[in-house]
Amino acid sequence: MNLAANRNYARALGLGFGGALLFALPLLMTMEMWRLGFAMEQGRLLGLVLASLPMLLGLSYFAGFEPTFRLKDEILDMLAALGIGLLLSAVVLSLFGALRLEHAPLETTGKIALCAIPGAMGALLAGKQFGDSDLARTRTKARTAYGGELFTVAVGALFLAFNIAPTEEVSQIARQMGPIRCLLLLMVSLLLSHVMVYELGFPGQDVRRGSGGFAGTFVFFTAPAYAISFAISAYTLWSFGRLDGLAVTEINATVLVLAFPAAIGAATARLVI
Amino acid sequence: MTAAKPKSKPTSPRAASVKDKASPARKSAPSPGSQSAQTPLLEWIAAGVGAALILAVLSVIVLDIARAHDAPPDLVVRSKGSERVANGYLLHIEIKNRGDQPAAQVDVEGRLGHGAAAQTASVTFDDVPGGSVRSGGLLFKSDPRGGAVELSAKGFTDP
Repeated sequence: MNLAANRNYARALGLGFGGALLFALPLLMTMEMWRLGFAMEQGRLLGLVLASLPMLLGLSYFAGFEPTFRLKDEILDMLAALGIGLLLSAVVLSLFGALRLEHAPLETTGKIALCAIPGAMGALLAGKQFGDSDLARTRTKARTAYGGELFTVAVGALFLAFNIAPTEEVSQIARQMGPIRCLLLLMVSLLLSHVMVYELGFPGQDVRRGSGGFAGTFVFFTAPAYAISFAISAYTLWSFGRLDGLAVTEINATVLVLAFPAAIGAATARLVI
Repeated sequence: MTAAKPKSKPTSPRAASVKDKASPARKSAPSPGSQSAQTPLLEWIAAGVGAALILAVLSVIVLDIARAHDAPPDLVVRSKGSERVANGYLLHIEIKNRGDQPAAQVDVEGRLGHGAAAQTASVTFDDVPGGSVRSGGLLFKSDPRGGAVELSAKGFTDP
């Protein structure tokens, strides 16, 4: 048994808890999230939890606790991150009085599972953010593959969509916008996510400079990134039951509203992860 | 930043790096000097805890889906004793949803006494999920222990 390796891993776990807390707290303190734990359809809850597994596995590949690309280690990292997310949600929700003994098992499980997903994302990201810089460089290189880029976009979009989709405000904003504002929002979303990645001096931006003209980067990166953000927003809203019973135009407006922060999250992820 | 070079491929510098990384680092054989060659015990423990927890979560949800879960909310209200408060009497109540589907905005009414002398008190529970219990209180002017209190759930919305 290697003591030093264990000690290093314990430190990574500690950082993981810190990251999970940072990422999950906004949701742990959102009461719509507690309601969704029991109000959303069980099948959709199951789908969301299952869908998060490959996503976390991919995130572990780019930002795990350990400097490896071996599948066994990625799976171990993913499971550890899930454990951190679930434990943290259970402890914090109990502390907040949102979990009670007289609640049905599904209610308790649903609340914990929903908040654990962003928590696990935070745990994996913290492992990377505080990790040593040599590793960070290797990973940055791996991630610059086109598929890796789009995956990063999906993670960033999912994180922000997850944070905002539970709130009532998404539907409220969609109702008060009207078609012209919807179009403007679409353009603003596209423009901002493009400018953030390719025009502003954000850290990480230098890697991407000169990888093609405006048309090239727009067609190959910004537009697909927005499409992914839109799809993930739609999936999140549908999972949370926010699209049920809406007319097609309302669905479109609601998804468009959520796709705005999702696209910003996607752009940020491309710069930060 | 005009649309000058439509045929330039933004992926070209990336394509090169894909090849870079495909070679030795990805290969499975752990190099002898690498610190990750041996997985720390703690890593196995952490992963084991995580696996157990996620399996528990998944099985609770799957079992709930497997059990036909379409029974509508079935709301049962019962009294949990009363006490004297400044404004009269407080009757503690508890509501349980014996159905599977959750109920929201559940209106509960308590009626004390009969005919013209009857007093009513009501309360709304935000959420009563399937199988769960919520508690609250009703306020009466006179002692509810004196006469039988009739408690009933009046209606709810789907969350």
